[in-house]
Formats: sequence, C-alpha cells, structure tokens
Amino acid sequence: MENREAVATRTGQTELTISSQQGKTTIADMVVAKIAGIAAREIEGVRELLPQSVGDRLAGLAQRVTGSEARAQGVAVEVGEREAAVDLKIVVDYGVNIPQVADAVRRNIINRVRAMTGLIVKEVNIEVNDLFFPEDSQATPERPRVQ
Amino acid sequence: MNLFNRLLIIVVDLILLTAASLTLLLTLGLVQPTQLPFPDAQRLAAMIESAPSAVIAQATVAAVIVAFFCLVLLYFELRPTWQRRPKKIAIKRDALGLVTVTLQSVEELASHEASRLEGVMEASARALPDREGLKLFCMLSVSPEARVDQLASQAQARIQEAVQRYLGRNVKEVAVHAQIAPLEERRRVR
Amino acid sequence: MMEMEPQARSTLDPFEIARAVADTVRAVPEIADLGSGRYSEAATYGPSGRVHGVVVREEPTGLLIEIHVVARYNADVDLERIAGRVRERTKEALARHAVSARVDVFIEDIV
Repeated sequence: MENREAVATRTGQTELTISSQQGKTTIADMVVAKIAGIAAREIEGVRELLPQSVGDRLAGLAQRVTGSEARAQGVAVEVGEREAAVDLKIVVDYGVNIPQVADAVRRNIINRVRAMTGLIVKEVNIEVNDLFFPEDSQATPERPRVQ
Repeated sequence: MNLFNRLLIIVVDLILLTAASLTLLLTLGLVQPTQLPFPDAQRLAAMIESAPSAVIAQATVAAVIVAFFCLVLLYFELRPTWQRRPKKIAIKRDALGLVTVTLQSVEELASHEASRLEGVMEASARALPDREGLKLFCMLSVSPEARVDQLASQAQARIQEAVQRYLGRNVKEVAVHAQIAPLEERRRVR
Repeated sequence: MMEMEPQARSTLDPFEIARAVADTVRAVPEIADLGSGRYSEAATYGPSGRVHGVVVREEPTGLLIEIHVVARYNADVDLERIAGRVRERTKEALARHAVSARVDVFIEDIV
C-alpha cells in the first residue's frame, strides 16, 4: 500500500510525496499548478491566464515567505496529501457565457489534476479579469490559443 | 495561519520602520543620542561624532529606502477593505469555489454592447454593485442625426440583456444617459 | 570508509552511475528533460563535469539515487506511473552494472 504525504520543504513550498517500497515519488506543487493552468487553457473561450497583480503579490508576501502556495503563470495552488485548491485569473473571449466557461474550466482542472496526480481538487476559484474582444486582435496577429 | 503570518509581517515591518526613523533622526542631527533611552548613548554619540560624513550620508539613504519600503508594505498589509470599491462581483458561489468577474470587465462589456448600436459614437459604462444587485450606469455620445431618447432605451435594453446573458447574473438597473456632445467634456470622475 | 559487503559494491563510481542513470532517464519518452533541483543543487560532480538532476548517495541502508525530472504533459498518463517507469528503467540499467539502489523520483516541472 502506498503512503501519501504533503511535506513543507525548506523553501516553504509543499510537495506531495508518495512512498512505496521501491522508493519515493515527489510531485512539486509547481507541477500541479501547471497542470491546472494547461487544463484551464484547453477550454474554448479561455483566452489566457493572468499573473497575480503586484498588489496581490505584496499582500501575499507573508504567505509566500512562510506559507505554502505555488504559483505558475496565473495559477496559485495549495496542495495537501489528498486534496488541492486552485485559484486562477483568466481572460475570456467576448460572447461566451461566463458561468458555463467557468464550469467547464473547473471540471477540466478537476479531471486533469485527478488523472495526473491523484489529487482531488476541492476548490477552484476563478476570477474573470478581462474580456477579449476580437477587434483587439486586429492590430496584432492571432495567437494560438493553446501553447 | 494567514492572520498570524500577516501579524508577523506587520510587527517586523513596524520594528524596521522604527529603526529606520531613529537612524534618520540621528543622522540628520535632529535628535541627540543622549536624548534617547539608549543604554549606551554616550558611546553612540561619540561614534556619530567621529564617523565620516560619507558614512552618515550612506546611512541616511539606506534609512530612507528601508522606511519607504516599510511604508509601502504596511499600506498593502493594512489597506482597509471596506473603503475600497469592490473590484469584482461574484457570479457563482458554491461548494466548488467562487467565480468572480472584475467590474472593469462588466463595464467593458456594457460599453461594448452600447457602442455597437447604430448611431452611438462613444460609450462609457460604470458598474455599481450593492447589496441588492448590480447597477449599471452608461454614458453615450450619439451622432447628431440619431434620436437620442430612442437610442438610449435601445441601449438600456441591450446592455441589460447582454450582461445577463454573459454573466448569468441579474442586473437590477441600467441607467443610460445619452448626449450629442462627445463624452470627454462630461466624464464623471468619482 | 567502512569495508563493504561484496554484493552492494559495484565497479562503477557515483559519477559513472549518475551518467548511466541520466542517459537512461532521458530515453524515457514521457520525460522531457532532467531537472536540477530548486537551487540547481541536484547534481553529481565528476572529473569531466557534472550530471544535472541525478544525485547518488551512499546511505546506511544502501545506495540511494535521486532523480529530478521534467515530465511531458499528457493528460492520459498518471505522473506516478511515469515516475514508476523512470524507476523501473533506472533499476534495469543499474542491474546491468550489478548495482542495486533505491530510487527516489522528483517530478519538478511539467511541459
């Protein structure tokens, strides 16, 4: 039987460690954050993820010094032994139904994180920070939605 | 836990700020060490006396930088939440978490919808959430040939419908003000 | 240094073991690259350079190999299984040199 553990490292971030007789497997929080970010971007209607604002960063300084949050490109995650929580800021395309897109993002994050790490995502907080209007892109060439 | 962290940061911040202020007072000569309740004030006074002016200047600059940083950090930690206009509204709250939309997005959406009407030259919207629901206030600048009152009511219906459709949230009130003059002159600043 | 039990010792030194492990791990299709630890501290040093992402340690319980990897994003594969595959391949490769070790896998990043 495997043994799961979430440990705080010296740097204050947590890591998920799964031990077996063969050896330990450790999954960094950053990996969970990245999976959640990719899962969000897979949804049609999600234009991009936004990094945390300067204010958020400063206000969250204490948390990053002493706490346990990992951030990857606009996604912040908290990881426990079996569960995880995800916060993200997104830009959606103009014309989409935001609650429906948000639901799809949540479902995809939950499924992907579950499939790839075995973690159960208990909470996904989504902030729609901006809308993307197609006219905005006329000046700049169309970017690929999924990188 | 988070509260403890924040308290810790605030306490450390205040200590640093005090230290920086004291350093400033001393290096600028506004206060003599002997006036302060230091155990070794005499020696400190002698030290400041004998220090080269370059060192004093460096200490002053360092103290200013530290004090500035501490003040900024303190502002962000203590910034009162009740005085800020909420930046976002919740459109969904359930066991799985919270979905919010920034007011700026709502405003962009409303003004975008209004500006797509024939005859509207410019639109600017303001979203005002309160306990009872979301209120939208929209200013339009319309072309001289247009029927102002008709366009205003069209815009009102369109904004109401679009915001409800895209946000899935009820809009309590949409107020539209239309004028022929450009918006710049009557921009409302709050 | 204490005298060793004959089966646990191999002809390879830690640097050679690390190089063999690194080559094996890079050949695993689900692995994009070796990682380097949070402060690029995860490496094994030797006469002709260093091997990033592999740490070889002599522990009282035997040889311990830490492998830091960057996995490829694939929604259909469990990261634990990828780690399992890395561990398996590493053990096979080491067995060819008559080395046995415990293998810890750190998934540092995903691309």
